[in-house]
Amino acid sequence: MPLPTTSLSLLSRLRDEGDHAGWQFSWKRFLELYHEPLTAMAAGIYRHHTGNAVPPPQAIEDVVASVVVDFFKRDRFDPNRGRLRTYLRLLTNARVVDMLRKEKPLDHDPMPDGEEKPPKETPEEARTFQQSLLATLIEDLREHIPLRQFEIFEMVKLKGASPDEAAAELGVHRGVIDNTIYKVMSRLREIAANPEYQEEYYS
Amino acid sequence: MKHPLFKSPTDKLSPSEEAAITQELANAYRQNETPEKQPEFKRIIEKVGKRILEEECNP
Repeated sequence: MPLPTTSLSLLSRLRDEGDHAGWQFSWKRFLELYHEPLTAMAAGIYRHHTGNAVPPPQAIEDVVASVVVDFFKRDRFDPNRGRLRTYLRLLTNARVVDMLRKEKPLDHDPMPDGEEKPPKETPEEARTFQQSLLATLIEDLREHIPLRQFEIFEMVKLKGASPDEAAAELGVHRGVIDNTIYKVMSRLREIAANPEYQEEYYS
Repeated sequence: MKHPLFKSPTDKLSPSEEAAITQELANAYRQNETPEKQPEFKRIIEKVGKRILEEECNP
């Protein structure tokens, strides 16, 4: 399998898996990575369009499910035309607006003309998106380094084992752990240096 | 302020910056490690699967 040439191409590749089994894996992985920011976005947008009404959980889950289906089945995300963050926000807003319009009679349009744009992103929405982006970065890292190196990184940096504990568990010298962590952190920073990550990270 | 993760890879990080990066990565990893344990995630997975099946049966 060829390595992605850019960091966030992981997402494009998730979408473009050709075979059915791969495609099934793709949308599930995407949902694992992005369901929290999508849920936060949908709830925030719902509150905005309804004058701060509490969003029914089932309605939010329906919106998130629709966004994922759209993302994989209909609308093409082109990273050359904008940020993933903005794209998902527009898509989520459109599905919330659709849902609210279906709920209301035609003569009671909940959003008069010109008021159906997505609201400004809240700090909570920004935080959840950043977390998902970091999780995507970890996925990218996993694909760019040998499995053994990732296991050591995962054990020490992600799961909180001490370097000595990792050395004892893996039966290697402590120096091997330290060298691996140094190498992996350097690789991680190289991947994170891709402008796409920085453009997506900041609001 | 620029997040330390996005500093140039050639810049040396201070111990506190490296600790901050590690903490954030660990949080992100934990958040995404076992989403299937969250009931709302399971419901969304089921909804997406059902809609995809419907679309494939009625393109």
